[in-house]
Amino acid sequence: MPDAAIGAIAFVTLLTIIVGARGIRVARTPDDFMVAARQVPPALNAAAISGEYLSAASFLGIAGLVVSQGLGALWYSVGYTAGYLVLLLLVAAPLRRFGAYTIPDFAVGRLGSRGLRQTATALVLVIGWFYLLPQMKGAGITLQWVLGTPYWVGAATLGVVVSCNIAMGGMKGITFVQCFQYWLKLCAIGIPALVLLIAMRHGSSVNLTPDRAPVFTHATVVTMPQATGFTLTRPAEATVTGLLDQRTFSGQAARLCACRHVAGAGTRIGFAAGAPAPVSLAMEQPSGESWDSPFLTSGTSGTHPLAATYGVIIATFFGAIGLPHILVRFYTNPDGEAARRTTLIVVLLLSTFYLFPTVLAVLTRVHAPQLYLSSDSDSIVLALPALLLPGLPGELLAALVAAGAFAAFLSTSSGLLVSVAGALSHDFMNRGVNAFRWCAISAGVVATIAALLVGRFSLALLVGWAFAIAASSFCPLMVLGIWWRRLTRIGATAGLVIGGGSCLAAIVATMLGAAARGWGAVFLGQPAIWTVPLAFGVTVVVSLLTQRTVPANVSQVMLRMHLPETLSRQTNRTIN
Amino acid sequence: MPAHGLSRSSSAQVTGTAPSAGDATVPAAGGADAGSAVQTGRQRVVWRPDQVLVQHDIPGLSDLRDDTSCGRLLARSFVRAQLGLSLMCLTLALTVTASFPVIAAMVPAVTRITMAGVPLTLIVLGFAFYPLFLAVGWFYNRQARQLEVRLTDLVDPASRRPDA
Repeated sequence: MPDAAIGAIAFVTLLTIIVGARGIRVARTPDDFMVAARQVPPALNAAAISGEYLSAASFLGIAGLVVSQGLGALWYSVGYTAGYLVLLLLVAAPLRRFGAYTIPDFAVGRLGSRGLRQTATALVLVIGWFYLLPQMKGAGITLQWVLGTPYWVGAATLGVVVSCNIAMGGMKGITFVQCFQYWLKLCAIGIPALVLLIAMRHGSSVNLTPDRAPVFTHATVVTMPQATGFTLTRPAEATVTGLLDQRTFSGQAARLCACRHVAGAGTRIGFAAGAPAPVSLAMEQPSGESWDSPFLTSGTSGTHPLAATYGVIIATFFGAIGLPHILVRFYTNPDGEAARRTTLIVVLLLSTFYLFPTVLAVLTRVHAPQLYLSSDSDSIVLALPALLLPGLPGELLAALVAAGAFAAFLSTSSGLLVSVAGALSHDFMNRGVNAFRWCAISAGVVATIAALLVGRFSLALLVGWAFAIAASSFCPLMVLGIWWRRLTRIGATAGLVIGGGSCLAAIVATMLGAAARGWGAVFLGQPAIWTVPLAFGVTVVVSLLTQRTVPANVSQVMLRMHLPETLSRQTNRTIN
Repeated sequence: MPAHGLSRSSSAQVTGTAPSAGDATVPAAGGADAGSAVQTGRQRVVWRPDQVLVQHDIPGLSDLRDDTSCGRLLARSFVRAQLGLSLMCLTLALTVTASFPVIAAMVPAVTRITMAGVPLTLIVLGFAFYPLFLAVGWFYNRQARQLEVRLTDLVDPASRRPDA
């Protein structure tokens, strides 16, 4: 079975390298190298942004989380899309008209301070690395599933491929690569979703009925790939072959109680139609009763679901503005008007993509509840096609999904590495292209090593945390910097340090296992609900207290950001 | 409604369309009338207040460039109009999306609704919000562009109509 998948992954990787290497000949000056010379048309640019944006979390994480935790996890896909609407409404055109390369460039150009620049650069590194971790984890579990290699092999492979590719091609190559990656990802999730939907159209909706634990809709034999602990929601008759609860069976019927069971590796359990689906103890949270709830419980052990849901909504809606690898792409638009068009197309492309993880998750719930036995909810999308369509069609679809997943890791981590390496080389080293290359490679190595430590957190949760940090640090800086004349460098720095710092501290505390229950779990596990308002508040209050340091050129800068290009070209004598 | 923050005044239209806008400082009548005025010893004066206003009250590119009080006012009201438009669209999108969890928490029966076996939650979260985002984004792009066109017409009509 893995042959097709291995071939598909190798093909995607090679194609990425080849298309990226083509960029080397196009890239001439450092300017070209960094932002593709600002000549990318909106449709191409929008596909590139979407390709870069749709990460492991979108491809594998959301569907897996919806299956394991319920429909509330769809807030992640809604939020990832809404993030671009917010970006369109608040920053797209002014940011392009401002005309800086990176967020630190924006901070300095708008407010002019070396200390602010270094703070911003440090946050670019934190957000970039945080966002790289789930990509590496995704690569780890994908290769683990396809080849059976240990987790670290996949993470290391991705790290090497991406670092070398970036070091060779810069961003001109990456724009084409990212654009290609979007369409590849859309096909890789859309085709399997539609094929399986058509193939399974006879299915019943019994598992979608509110307040019902999932049941097998037809007689199913489940084989345990490894020793697995599971629970049943109610007693069930089953035929068992192999080791179960420390007894050896050889095809006898057994009555399994509604309690915990442990099955040995290779044990086969046959369930009748209508029997309750067993749920693995390794699933983040036992699913069942509340699957149809619109609340999200990820990262907070299920306490205070309403607050946790708003935490994710705030983080994802306002986080996209502060993602360093995404903002770089806006400088490649020809003008502000094109930046707005590009962003609207991005919203369209993302909306289209996010229909399909939902479809796959619902298909899993309805037709393949045995996937509740998976050891990791993030591998559910990879396993689904082969389960629903036995034989060659299923294998091919599985290969397509694996290739698309790999494309997701490649494209997002490429974009992240470009911005991390760009920030490192630009602000902490001499600014040449060679320094950029070395920074790309070393940043990749650091991310790969760190990724080995985060295996137990779900992809969507990890990416959600990167969004939370971005929303509580760069979002106030960008939004207030664009719309509020009275912002000062001291206020902006205070907002970055206090907002970003408190959010990071809360997340690290959660990772270390602090406060597993109650309000503490919500405030630490979904920190955006308080750190984003805190960051805005601190920025505004400190700015108002330091009004003497408002930059002298604020009127000119505001004009340049907000006037259409035809006018600002004639009004700006000093800049541009 | 922020879209009206910068409506074009009628006198600005004169600047844009009337070929005589350039010599508006001479509000006297044209050649034939002037000739007859010499003959009769009387002078016929035609008062055209709209053309006089053109020179003094309509902010132009130079106001923006030189940061005069007039230009500053214009720039601020333009930025405010854009911000108002953005916030209006943002409020609309946020209210519709973010009210769903509250409604579901207060009226749990909402989450029990199914349509043809499909839970309402799935329809709303999985599909319904995306068209809303697209519509809001499309509306915003159109309005934001219109605001910019209005400003350009106001301060620099020549750049919009090369033939004027």
